[in-house]
Amino acid sequence: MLKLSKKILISLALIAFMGLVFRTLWLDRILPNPDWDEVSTGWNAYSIIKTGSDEWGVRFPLLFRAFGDYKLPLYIYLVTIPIRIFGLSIFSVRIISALIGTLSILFVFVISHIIWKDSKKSLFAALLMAASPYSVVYSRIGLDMILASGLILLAILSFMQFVRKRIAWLFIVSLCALVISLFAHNLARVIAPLLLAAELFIGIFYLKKTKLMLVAIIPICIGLGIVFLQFRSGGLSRMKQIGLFGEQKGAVIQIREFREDHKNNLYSRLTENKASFYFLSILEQYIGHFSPIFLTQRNDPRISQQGYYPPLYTIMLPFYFIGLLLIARNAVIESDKTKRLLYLFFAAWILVSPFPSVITDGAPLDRRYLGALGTFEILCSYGFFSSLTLIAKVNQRKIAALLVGVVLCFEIGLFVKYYFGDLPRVWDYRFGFESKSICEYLKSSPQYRVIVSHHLMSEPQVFTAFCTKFDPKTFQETRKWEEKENWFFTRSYGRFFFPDTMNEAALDHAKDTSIVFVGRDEYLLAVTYLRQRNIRFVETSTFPKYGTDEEKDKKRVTMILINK
Amino acid sequence: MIKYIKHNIALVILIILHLSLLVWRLNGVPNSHTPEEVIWLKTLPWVNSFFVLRCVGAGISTFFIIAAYTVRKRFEKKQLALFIGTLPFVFAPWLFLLGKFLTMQTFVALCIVGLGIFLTGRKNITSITVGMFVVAVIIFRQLIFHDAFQQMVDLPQNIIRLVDVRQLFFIGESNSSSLRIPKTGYFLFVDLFFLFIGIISLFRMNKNNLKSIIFFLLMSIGWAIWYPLDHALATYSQIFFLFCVTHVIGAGYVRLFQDLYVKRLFIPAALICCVIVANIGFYQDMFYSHFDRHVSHEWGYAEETVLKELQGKKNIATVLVSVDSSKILEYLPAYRFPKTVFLRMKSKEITREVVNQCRREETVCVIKEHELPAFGLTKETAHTIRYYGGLPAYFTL
Repeated sequence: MLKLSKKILISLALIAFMGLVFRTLWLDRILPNPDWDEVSTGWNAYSIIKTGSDEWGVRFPLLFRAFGDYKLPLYIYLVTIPIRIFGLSIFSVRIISALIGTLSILFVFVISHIIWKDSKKSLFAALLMAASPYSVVYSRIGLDMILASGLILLAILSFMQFVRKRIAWLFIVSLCALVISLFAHNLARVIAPLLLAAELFIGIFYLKKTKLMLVAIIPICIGLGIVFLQFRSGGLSRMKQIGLFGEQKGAVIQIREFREDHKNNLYSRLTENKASFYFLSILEQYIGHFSPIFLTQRNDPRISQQGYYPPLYTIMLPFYFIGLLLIARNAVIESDKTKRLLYLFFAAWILVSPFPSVITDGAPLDRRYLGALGTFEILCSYGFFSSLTLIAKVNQRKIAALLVGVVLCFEIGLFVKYYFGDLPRVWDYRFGFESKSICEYLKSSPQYRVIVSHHLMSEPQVFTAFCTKFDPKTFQETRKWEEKENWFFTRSYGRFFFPDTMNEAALDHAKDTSIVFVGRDEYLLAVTYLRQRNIRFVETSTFPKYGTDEEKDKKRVTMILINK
Repeated sequence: MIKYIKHNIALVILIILHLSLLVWRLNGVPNSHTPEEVIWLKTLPWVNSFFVLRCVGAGISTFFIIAAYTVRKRFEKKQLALFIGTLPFVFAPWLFLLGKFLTMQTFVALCIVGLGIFLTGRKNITSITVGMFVVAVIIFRQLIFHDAFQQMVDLPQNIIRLVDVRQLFFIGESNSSSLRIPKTGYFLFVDLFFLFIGIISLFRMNKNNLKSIIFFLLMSIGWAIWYPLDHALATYSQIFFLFCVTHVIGAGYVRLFQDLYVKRLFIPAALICCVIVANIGFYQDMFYSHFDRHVSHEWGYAEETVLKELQGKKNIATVLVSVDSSKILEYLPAYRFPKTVFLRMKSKEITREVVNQCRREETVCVIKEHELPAFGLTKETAHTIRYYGGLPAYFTL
């Protein structure tokens, strides 16, 4: 156990509290409109509570089919707890993530303390984690990546403590955390086996705990076996969509182009092939994870499902690289065996964490690089304190620390202002405005027949089911769907209909009194159709609160109440 | 002279290597020219062909090798170490590409590098030297640019971009694709490894040398940070920085090969050499086989093809060029048209008058694809001039 003074414990508690506030404040309102994955997670959890089956009627699955993206089970099952307590709401879906994000602050403190036995470094690392844009942003989204990241942190913490204390149960905890993380998020399916391999390697060759390591192989085999079976039964579909490899992917298209330049001669086949191009792509993408641009520059806010804020505050960038260099040096030249092992394992964590992102198209992508969460903070803290030691005079050291602190506070302030002030406004009209408007209508409207097209919003069925708290049993029984390229499009359930676009055939679904939701693109067609047939209707439009007039008009959602 | 050559045999070999790399297919790839080259062709009285013009470019590029050798000589005395340390310059994709055509930006950059070498060559790097440099930067910036405030705002991001290894080693000139060899950065991929060794070896130098190098690097960064890195070759600003990075890579080469030699590890050394050679072969192939196809639309291939075609046609009194096709006119000085008048259309819009004029026998009109409907034509019915990559560029009527 860690022996900490009262002062340190209080500081840590304050930091953790600050982290908790960052992660839970206005959790249901920021970010305003949940994305389809969050809603689907909540809907499946609700379905499990009510029927014991997922939305497709499969009883307690280990892989949730959802839209065809095959979600991993752990987060969904965890979300059942807050849903049971607080009811089906976006807060319930997000709270688990927020709590795990807060717990990660403590994990980072402990990991740092195990390595350096230095409370200042550890507290600073915890502080950076508490205010980490990466951690805050993803802890406030009701998805599973922060859970995977938290489990990885727990595994690393336990293994490092095992290296220090050589207590077997710590290794078992680490092992369990890694095996469980296989069912949390796909990023763990890449990182966990690599970390397990590193643990086994250190355990067998350095710590000489061969028996313990051999025992560990059993749960590893079980975990990996289940994962393998899941891959065979559709679990790889996500990888096919986003992966780097495939005949229609960038590298292969480039190979074709380059070979055409050479008229597909022997030379081009020898040099311009999958091996060389994939190698280059992977190398480039891997290096990209350590590129200052990626580490400090903001993402385009128009792209949803991105953190927007980079993993590091700009002032911390030099300290990150200094920390990285020092870790590399210490892993090689440290004379104390235990310390060297800790450095080695920490280095292994840094090295393997980009892999889930590297093997996908368009890397580096922050949400697939969340396995590295914790490394940034620990490295920055280490780099910062190591740099301070270069300054000989204590007073100068204090001034330097103060200057960095001031800039850091300023950057944190900017992030808070952006995330809690500016982003929700931008987000509100850019993402999910349609689903929000429709939900607001549906909550107050009578039980009319409802028609929403997939053109207006993606996966409308989960949003309508989620916000009307539709009966999952009826949902499962009445659902009609269609499969296109491994993606499952729901066409109808209960009183809800979801055509691809709002055409005449779709409008024919409207019987008696019905509500049709259309966007700007579909409005004219729908209204013309109704007028031509002399069908009586009333229309109401909603516009986003923010944005330019053009943007507002673009996002207009019109509810047409038809009375046939 | 012979004595000098004997003492600097490494430099002679390096120059020969660099020149032979550049002169090979000098006028073949890139297979067209820049408007700036056309201007120089007409301005420089002793240049009578594009080949000679490009030889000038290759010559300027070679001066970088001499500059690099001069800097390295401050730290190394042995000819072999000097040779190995300067070798990365010979193969550096950024310098290779700059030597393949003529732009005065290279010359300006060479002058800046020269200034840097002069200032850091002083025995004591005093505050006067620093002051001289700062004044030079400010005067130069004031002469050239006016939006100084915006540049200050962009500064932190530019610094970060400057040290972005992905951009340096894998992407290269992302904003000016005309100067981007496909799948190649400013340096060889393997140079990334040598850069790290180079950085480590810097810290093992004696204080004076390290001070000189750090000052040299800071100067290069001082020049470079005013622009984002994705413009490095299109502007002169970052060439000094690339020069410095190549130096650090050179230090990495020397350090590694020295270590391997001391430890008698000849097989690993040979393997590393093979990897370097393979990397050089890869980017050379990328340049000679793919560069033109991928970036010919940024160069003047289509424009020069139009003009060559028109040269072959007799009895053309007037060539009417649409506003969107007026890039062609920039290449006109390089071609002789004694009897033909080239006119640019007065407005972007194609008027009826223009259409009628284009129907005359002695008039040729050059237009872009989107202007075809105004003439009642389609892509299939008009005569097409294509980019080297195959896409349609211009249509002649």
